[in-house]
Amino acid sequence: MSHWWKYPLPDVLPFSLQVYYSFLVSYGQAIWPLQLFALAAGGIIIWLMLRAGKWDAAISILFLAAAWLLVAWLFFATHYALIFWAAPYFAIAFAVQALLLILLAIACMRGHSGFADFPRRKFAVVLFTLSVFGYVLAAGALSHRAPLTEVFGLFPAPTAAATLAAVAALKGAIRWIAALIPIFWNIITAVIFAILGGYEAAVPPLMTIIAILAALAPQRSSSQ
Amino acid sequence: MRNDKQRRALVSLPHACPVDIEACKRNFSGAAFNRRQALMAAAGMLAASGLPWQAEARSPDIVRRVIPSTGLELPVVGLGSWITFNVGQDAKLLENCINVVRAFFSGGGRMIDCSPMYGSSQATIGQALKSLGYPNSLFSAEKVWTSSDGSRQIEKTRSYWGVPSFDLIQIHNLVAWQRHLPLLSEMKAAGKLGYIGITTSHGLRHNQVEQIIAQHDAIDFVQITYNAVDRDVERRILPLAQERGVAVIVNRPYRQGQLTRRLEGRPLPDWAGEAGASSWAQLLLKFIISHPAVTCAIPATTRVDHVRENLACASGPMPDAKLRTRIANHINEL
Repeated sequence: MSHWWKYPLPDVLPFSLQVYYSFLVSYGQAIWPLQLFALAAGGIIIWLMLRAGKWDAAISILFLAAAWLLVAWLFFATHYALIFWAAPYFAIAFAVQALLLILLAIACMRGHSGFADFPRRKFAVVLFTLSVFGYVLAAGALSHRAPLTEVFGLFPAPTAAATLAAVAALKGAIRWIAALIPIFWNIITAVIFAILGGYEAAVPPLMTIIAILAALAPQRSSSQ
Repeated sequence: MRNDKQRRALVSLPHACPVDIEACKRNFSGAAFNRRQALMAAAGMLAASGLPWQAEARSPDIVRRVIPSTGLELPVVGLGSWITFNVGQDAKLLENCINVVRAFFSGGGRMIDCSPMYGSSQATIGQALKSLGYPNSLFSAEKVWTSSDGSRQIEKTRSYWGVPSFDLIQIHNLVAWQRHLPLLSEMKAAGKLGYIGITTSHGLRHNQVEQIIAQHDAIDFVQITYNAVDRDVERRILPLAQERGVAVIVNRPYRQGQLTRRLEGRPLPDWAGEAGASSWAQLLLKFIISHPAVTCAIPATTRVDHVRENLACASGPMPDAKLRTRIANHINEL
């Protein structure tokens, strides 16, 4: 909206931390049992990343594109928009990211990118696994927050983290086109949590830094 | 319960009230005496007359202010909904909001203010009104906040509230105001809207607000930020609103709780009793509503006891100009 950027950031967020948590719980309940399918999809991507066959990078990236589209529609457009006016704009950004991932998948098919060799890919697989299952385990460990379990492919934070991990597993400069929106989203998430006073504020920047370090990690040449 | 026809009758009071506006005009010899000024003069007579239309939801002690363009009186404390009513589908929080609205009406409150920007707040208000049987005393204040189809947004907003029409629609933060002003004027002329307003907050775009108030007679209300710390409006906008006969709604009376948090734990000055305040929140609110240009302040809250405390501010002694300055100086020094 016109001139909204002139307002202090805390004054453009129309909800409290309590309401945000409550929203995550009600969204999680509304979409159950999609979480199980999303976790299964995450498991398949991990398997593809470990196998690293000819088409596996492209297939993994297409899975991620589907995840971003799902979050755009289900999380932002259908649910988050109820409490936050900016949600439709976020939905558009996530849909654009899905398109970028499709472009990256095509690039992988044409040989412009693909899974990198170890140790970079190994590092990335660990990060991806953490992004997919780490959020679930963390919620389980903090029993009082168990209903807040955020799942890859259905919630934006683990989806962005997993995507950055997948980008880290790839080779070729073109992979970075799929990193920009997840990094941008992680910044937005950190700012929102910092404003609301949630301790999660530190997680997205941390995940971003680790993923970028992973992406820059050395790899053996593909001929080895 | 007030039906649609009755509501329209209320908002179109100038056409129905028994006060002879033309006679009022004739009795003033000033050259530049317009219809609005006549209404402002008539409003004083109406306020004293105790006409039947004023009887609903009157709480005898509550201070009321006249809306200059019609003479309708409003309690000087209303209810905002920013953040507090955006509770999504959480049943417990929703119930709490309903209790807040119930306490507000029970205490004699009338104006509830909301916006399409406030997430699920509109739906929350709609739920509350429905569960309370759409109280007669409601003065519905909404906003249009889009750069595209304003009428579509207003209709969507109306469906959330579940009311036949709004008493007041304001152009939120002046977004596309040139486009929305003719639309709102059309709605008002057609009897589908009582009043037109513009809003700003955080002290932004005051020059533009001044220009619009000065140049457009259609504006009945202006909503601005005003409190003991944010006093920029005292210089131009509040005097201009008085001069032009524009009602003033005050948002962010506590700076979204920042002021009350800042003052928490500090001793209330001895002289607070002179202003009729028994807490910092009351002193802050009394400072605002005692300004003669202010029609209604709209603090938002999630707590029933805070609604009661806010409404209690609208009765009892009010600080005079000297005491108001003392309040502002004291709070700014802390």
